[in-house]
Amino acid sequence: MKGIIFNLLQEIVEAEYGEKAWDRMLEAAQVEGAYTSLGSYPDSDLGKLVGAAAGALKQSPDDIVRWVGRKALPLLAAKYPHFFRPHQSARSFVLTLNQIIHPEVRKFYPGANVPEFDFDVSSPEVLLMSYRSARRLCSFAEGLVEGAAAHYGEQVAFEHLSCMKRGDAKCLFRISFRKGEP
Amino acid sequence: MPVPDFFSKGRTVSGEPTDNDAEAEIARLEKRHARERAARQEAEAIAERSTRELYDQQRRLVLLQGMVVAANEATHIEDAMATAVRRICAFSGWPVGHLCLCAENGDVIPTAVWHFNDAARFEEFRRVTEQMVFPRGVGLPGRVASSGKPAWITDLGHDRNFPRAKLVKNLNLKSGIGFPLLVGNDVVGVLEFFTDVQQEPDEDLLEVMAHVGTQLGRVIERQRSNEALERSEKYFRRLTENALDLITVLNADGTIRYQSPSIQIVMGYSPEHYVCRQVADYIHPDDVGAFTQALNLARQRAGSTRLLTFRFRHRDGSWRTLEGIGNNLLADPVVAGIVFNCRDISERKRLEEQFLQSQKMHAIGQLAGGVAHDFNNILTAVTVCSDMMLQQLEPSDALHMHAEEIRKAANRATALTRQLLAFSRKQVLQPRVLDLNTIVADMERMLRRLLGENVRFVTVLPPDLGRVKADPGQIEQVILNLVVNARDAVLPPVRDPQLVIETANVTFDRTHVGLGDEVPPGDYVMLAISDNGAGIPQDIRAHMFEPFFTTKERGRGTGLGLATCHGIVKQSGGRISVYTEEGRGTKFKVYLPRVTDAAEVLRPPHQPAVLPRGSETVLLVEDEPSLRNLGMDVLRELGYRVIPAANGTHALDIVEHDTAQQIQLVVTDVVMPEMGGLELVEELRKQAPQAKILYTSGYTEETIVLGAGIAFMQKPYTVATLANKVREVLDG
Repeated sequence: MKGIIFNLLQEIVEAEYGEKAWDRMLEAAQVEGAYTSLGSYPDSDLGKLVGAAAGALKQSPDDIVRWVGRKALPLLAAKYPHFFRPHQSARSFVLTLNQIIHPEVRKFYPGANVPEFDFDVSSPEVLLMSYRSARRLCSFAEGLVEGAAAHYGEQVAFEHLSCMKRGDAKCLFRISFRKGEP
Repeated sequence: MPVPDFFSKGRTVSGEPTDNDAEAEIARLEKRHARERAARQEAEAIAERSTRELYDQQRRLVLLQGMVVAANEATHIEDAMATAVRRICAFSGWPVGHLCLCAENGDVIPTAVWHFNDAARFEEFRRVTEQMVFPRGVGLPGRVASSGKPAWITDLGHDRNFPRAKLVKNLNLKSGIGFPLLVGNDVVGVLEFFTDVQQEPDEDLLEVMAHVGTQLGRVIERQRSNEALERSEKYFRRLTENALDLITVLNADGTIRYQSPSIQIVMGYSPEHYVCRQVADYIHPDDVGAFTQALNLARQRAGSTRLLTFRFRHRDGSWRTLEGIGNNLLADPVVAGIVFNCRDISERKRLEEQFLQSQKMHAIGQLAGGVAHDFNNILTAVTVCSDMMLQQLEPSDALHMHAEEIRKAANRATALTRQLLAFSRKQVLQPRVLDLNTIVADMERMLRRLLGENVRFVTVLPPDLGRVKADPGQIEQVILNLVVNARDAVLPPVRDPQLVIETANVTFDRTHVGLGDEVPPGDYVMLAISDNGAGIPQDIRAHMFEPFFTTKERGRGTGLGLATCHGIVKQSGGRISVYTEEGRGTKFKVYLPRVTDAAEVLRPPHQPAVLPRGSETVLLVEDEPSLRNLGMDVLRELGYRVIPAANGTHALDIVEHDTAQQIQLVVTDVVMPEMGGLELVEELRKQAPQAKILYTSGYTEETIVLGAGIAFMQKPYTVATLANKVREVLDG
C-alpha cells in the first residue's frame, strides 16, 4: 500500500486527536510508522493500525475505515482541487473515479494498485456502483463517497447489496444522492 | 467520534506534569523524530531511484525516438537499420552491432549493415560473418530466428552453438546478444551485438531490445509495404510511360492535365508542352466539332466511354489520325479527369487507302487489259487489211489516201492499246540484262530534241552502275513518259527549267516508305528523273498513277503516262517512289532490282524496205478467224506454204507425222481456247523438233514473261512486221 494512505491517516488522526494520539496508535499497532508518500508498505500495516484504533474505540474496523475515508476526502479535495472543481455533484465526481482519477493516481504513484469501479447510470436517481479490490476496502470507498457527498453539500444513502467480505465476487452499492446538508 | 482512551494514555488531565510524563514525552518525540528521519531517508532513496529510472527511461525514449526518426527519414530498410544498429551500440556501449535478415526458407543471411567502434579490428570478423549463412537454430542469429526471442550468450568462447567462437576469442569478444525483428509473430531479421566485457543477462537491456525489435519490425513492415507500393507504382508508371498508345488526362474544361511520354514519338512535342493547353487547339478544324460533342456527351455521365477518330497536329504541321476512347473519370477522386487512350492509326489509314487504291488499280487493269486484248485482235485485222490495200492500190488511186488514213488511225489505236497493256501489266515482256546508263545514253539525243533548247538537260551516269533485268523497249517507254511529264512540268512560267536524269546503285536495309511504292530491302539500280517544275499538288498525289487521270489540258495527255510507267516498273519487279515539293520540283525514282549478270548487247531490229519472202512450211495457229485468214493470206502472198489451225488441239489434230516433219516454223497465238501456244509447242516439239517457234499475243496473262531467245511478236502487227519477223526467225 502506498505511503500516501498512511500519511492521510496520520493527518486525520493528528488533526482530530493530536500528534500524540498518532504516536500511540503506532505503538499500539506495533508498526514502524516511518511512512513516506512515494514508498510502498505492507497492507498489513493498515490492518494493524485500523485494528488498534478499532480496539481502542470499540468500533468495528469497517467503521474506522469508513470514518477514515469520510475524513480523507476533504484533505484530498484540498490537495487535488482540480479533480473536484469541474463537478457540481457527488454523483458526477464519483463517476470519474475509473477514467480520470485512477489513471492520474497511477502517474503520481507508479505501481499503485487502485481498486476497480463499475457504474450503472441507467437511473438518474440511483447509482449502482461496484467495487473490486484484493484489499477489500469497500468501507473506505463508502467513506470516500460519503465525504464526496458532504463536499458537494449532499446527503447520501447506501445499500450494500453484495460484499467481497461475504464471499461475493465484488461489492455492489446502491447509492442515492440528495441535495441538502444532512 | 469520541476520544479513545488509549489516545489519552499518559496524559494528565489535571495538575502539573510529572518527571515521568516528561521522560515519556521526550521518548515519544525521539521516536517520532527517528521515524521522520527514516521516512525522509526513504523518500530520498526513492527520489534517487526515480531519478535514475527516469534517466534510463529517457535514454530509452531517446533511443526509440531516434529509431522512429531514422525509420521515417530512411528511404531503404538498410539505411534505417544502419542507424538503429549505431544507436543501439551507443546506447548499450557494446562495440559491435550487426543486422541479419531472414530469407524465405528461414535461413538467416548476414547483411553488410554493421557498426564497429574500431572497424579495422573487426574487419576479419565482418568478412567471415558476411560469407556465412545461419540455418534456423544455428549460431546466435539462427537461434533467435528459430525461437523468436532474444538470446544472451554470457561466454561466447564456451558456447557450443556459436560457429564464430574462434574468431571472437581472437578478438577478445566475451558476450553477445541477439534479438528478433518481428513483424507480427514472424521473425524478419536479427540484430546481434557483441561486447568485450563478459556480461550477465541484463533484463533492462533485454526489455529495451524487445521494444526496439518490435519498433524495427514495424519499420521493416512499413518499408516493405512502401517498397512494394513504390514498385507497383513504378510498374504501372513504366507501363504507361512505355506504352506506344497516347494516354491523356483532360480536365473538365478540355485542358490537358497529363500527357504520356509516347506523345514525343508520335507528335514530336514533349509531354510537358501539352500540359495546361486546350486539347482542341491541336485537333483538325474539321474534327473539332465532333470531338467537342463527344467530350460533352462523355462529361455528362460519369464512367461513360466514347470511341473517337480525329486528326491531331504533329509538330511538323502534318496531321496524324488518332483513334481513341475517352472515359469520364471526373467522379473518381483519384483521377478526377477524362482519360483518353489514343493510338496513331495514320499508318493503318495509309495502308487501307493504299490497299483500296491497289484494288482499284487492279480492277481498272483487268478492264484495260481485257479491252486491249480484244482490241489488238481487231487492230491487227485493220492494220493488215489496210497494209494489203495499200500494197494493191496505186498511190494515185483515190482510195489509197483513205487506206492510209485507216492505217494511221490503226497506228494511233495500237499505241493506245499498248499503253493500256503496259498499265495493266499484261503485256509480254522480253527482259534482258541491261545497263541503264547505255539506255539513257542512247536516248539522250532524242530526249534533247524532245525537251527543246530552253530546258537544261543533265545526265549523271556513274560508270560503276549495276545491271538490271528488264525489257529494254519498256524501260525506254518509262524514261520517255517520265521525261515528257517533266518537260510539261517545267513549261513557262518556270524559270531556268532543268531536267536531270541520274542513275545510282542503291541498297536499302529496311523498307523504304515514301510517296509512291514501298521499296522492300535489297540492292537496286536507281533511275531518277527530276525537274525543277511546279511540283505535284497534295490533292492529286494519290491519283497520279491512275489511268486516264491527267492534269494536262484536254487533248494533250491520255492520262496513261504514269500509269504505264508504274505498270512496266512493277511488272519488271521494280518500284517507283516520288518526292515532290510544290513550287520546287519533282523527282521520280525508279528502283529496279540489281543483278550480277553481264549486260547483253542490244541490236536494233532490222526492217528491210522490201518485204522478205520465203517458201518454207508455216503452221499458223490463231483462234481469231479474221487474223488467221489475214495471216494466211499475207504469208501465202510472200511465198510460204501455210497450214492454218484454230487452236492448239486443232493444230495437233491436223498435223500428221509426215506433215509435222515438213513444218519449219510455227506461228502461234499464246492465249487460245482448249490449248494455248505454249502447250502446243511443248507437244509439237516431240513430232517436229526441227520447227522454229514465233509467238504472237495481245497479252499473255499466264505467261507474261517469255524467256530470252524466244521469238515474240506483239499484236497488233503489220504486214511488214509479220514478213520480217517470220524471215528473221526462220533465218535465226
